[in-house]
Amino acid sequence: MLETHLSVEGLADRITRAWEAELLKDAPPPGRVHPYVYASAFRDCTRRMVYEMTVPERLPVPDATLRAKFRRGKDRERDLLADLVRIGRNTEPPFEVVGQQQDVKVRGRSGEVVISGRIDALLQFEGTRYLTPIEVKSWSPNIVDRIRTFADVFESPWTRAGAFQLLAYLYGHSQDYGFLLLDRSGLPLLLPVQLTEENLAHMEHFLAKAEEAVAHHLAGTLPDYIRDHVMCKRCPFYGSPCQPPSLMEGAQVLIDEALEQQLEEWHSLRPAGKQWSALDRDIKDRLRGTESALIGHFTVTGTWSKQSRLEVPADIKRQFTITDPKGRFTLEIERL
Amino acid sequence: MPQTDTLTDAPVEDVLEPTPSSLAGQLVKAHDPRVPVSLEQLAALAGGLQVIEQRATILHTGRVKSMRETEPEDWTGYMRRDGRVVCYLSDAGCERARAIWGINIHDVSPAERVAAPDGQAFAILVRGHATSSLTKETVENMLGARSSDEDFCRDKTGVQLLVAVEKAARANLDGNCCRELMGLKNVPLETLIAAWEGTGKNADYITKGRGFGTQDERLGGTKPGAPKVDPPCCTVCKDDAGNPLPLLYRPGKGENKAFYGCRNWDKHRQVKVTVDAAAWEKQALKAQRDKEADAKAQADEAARQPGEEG
Repeated sequence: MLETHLSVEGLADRITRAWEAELLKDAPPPGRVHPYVYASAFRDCTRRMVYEMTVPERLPVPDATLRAKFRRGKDRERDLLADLVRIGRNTEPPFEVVGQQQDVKVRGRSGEVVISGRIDALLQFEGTRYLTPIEVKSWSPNIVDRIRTFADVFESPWTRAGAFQLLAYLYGHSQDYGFLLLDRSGLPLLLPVQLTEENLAHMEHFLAKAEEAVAHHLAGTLPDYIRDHVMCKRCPFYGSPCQPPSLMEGAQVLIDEALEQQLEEWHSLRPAGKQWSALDRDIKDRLRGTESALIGHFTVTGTWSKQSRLEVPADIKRQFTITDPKGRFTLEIERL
Repeated sequence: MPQTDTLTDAPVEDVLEPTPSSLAGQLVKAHDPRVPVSLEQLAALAGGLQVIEQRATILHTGRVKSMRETEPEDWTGYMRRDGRVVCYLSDAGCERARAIWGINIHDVSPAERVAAPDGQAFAILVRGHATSSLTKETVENMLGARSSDEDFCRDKTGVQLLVAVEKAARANLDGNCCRELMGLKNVPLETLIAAWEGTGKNADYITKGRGFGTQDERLGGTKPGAPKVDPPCCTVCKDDAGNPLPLLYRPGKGENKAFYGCRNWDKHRQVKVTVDAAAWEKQALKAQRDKEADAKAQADEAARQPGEEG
């Protein structure tokens, strides 16, 4: 029995609130104005990049839950780097983990620093002076589960900035390759990253945007709006101070009496159609394998024939898989 | 008020001209609610009434669809004196509902800060225009406004307070434009319930606003001072299932004693239905005690063994 006037639920509530207060205690100061883009701050919207440089104090202050997530992420990064130190001794060739949190600066055409960041660590392999950048990320498992290659990292708006960040480090250090280490519940995912033609093009894109953002910052101006409603609604500067137009396409109006009549007919036949499909499936399941039978007024004739299928190893299948972002079209028709 | 703008975006070929050679084609075009058309032009076309019906059908379908995209929690219901409930769509709900209307909000002004007379609080005002690409309707100089002394600003100070109020003002502008252009400002509850048929969305989860009583009552409580007995019922009014509607408790004021009255009293002014609250409570408690005594007597009778009589 608890020797306190509080119930056990009350105690749990008190402890949770104290925990929140602890996390909020040492709040970092609001961001300072900076004359370059952070390497981790690639944004599809250049205007947002300028706001992050010029009015960082308007960014939302993380609450206790978000602070807890950041803290867990930092702890995991530290643990993974500590693991790498040990693993480096047993790998062939062995490597050392050096230069943690080393500054990287990327200069634009004008010679000014336009991108600045800190590499998590560098790996020095035995017998070489080459230092291989490694960036550690602790993203949501739901996101990491969908990543197989470095190219996949560009797909999600939540991870894209991380891809550009590592490319900026490779570019800034004039190095051909590096690693992106992604934490997950099992073995961490170590993605090799090379400065291929494609990745160099990505980096050029980041560099151009950073140069544009810095130029606007120096001139006290702002780039044009991105005109993407979804992106604007996700932006922390929407409404303060950015007031972009909010543009949506809307539904088409189709004036086609014949098609409308077809839809009415389709809708009226649908319940019967569904019933027929369900019966058809059930009957065929029950009669599978029956080569000849009589039932009431019906005769049943079944025939076996060849069917070929490919059994391809998963890694080969993946190698030859092409994904078309608009390959599938799904229609949902509702009568209101 | 929404204005129909016939002079802006519609390309020349979409505007109706009553020339005999193109009547059939024009009739088809006229069905499209985006094509500006006047009553005179419709009257000149043989199927003018059909055109109006078709346009109304399309707009009705759009309205129902956008209501179906919302959630019950997006709405606040306000009960009028006649007992009817009208619902107001929140700014967040507007975001869900607006896609079909193609609402474009443009020429948004920078946020304007207005100090309150007390010098502490402030309001932020944002203005803008909006157009619906579905109906071609335009609204101009719509206003979004929020204040720093509202609930959502509690515990915020400095820049974070300013940011919160500015964002809320912009959200309010977006919401006001959408509500105006979608015609979803005051929607009868029955209309919402009909639109949600088949979706599983429950109108019970709509937030209860003014007219539903105190906060406690809205959350299921009773009026303070109300007798803890079932209220009497109206002899005139019935609900949809045919059951008499319970009367509402009205606390006493000044020399007037507390009573139970009908919420729809103005619909049957000639038949006044009021019950003295104290008398009702006394009667109800007595009936309750009598019922308990009867039940106890019956239980005792059933428990008595043979031979125990007398």
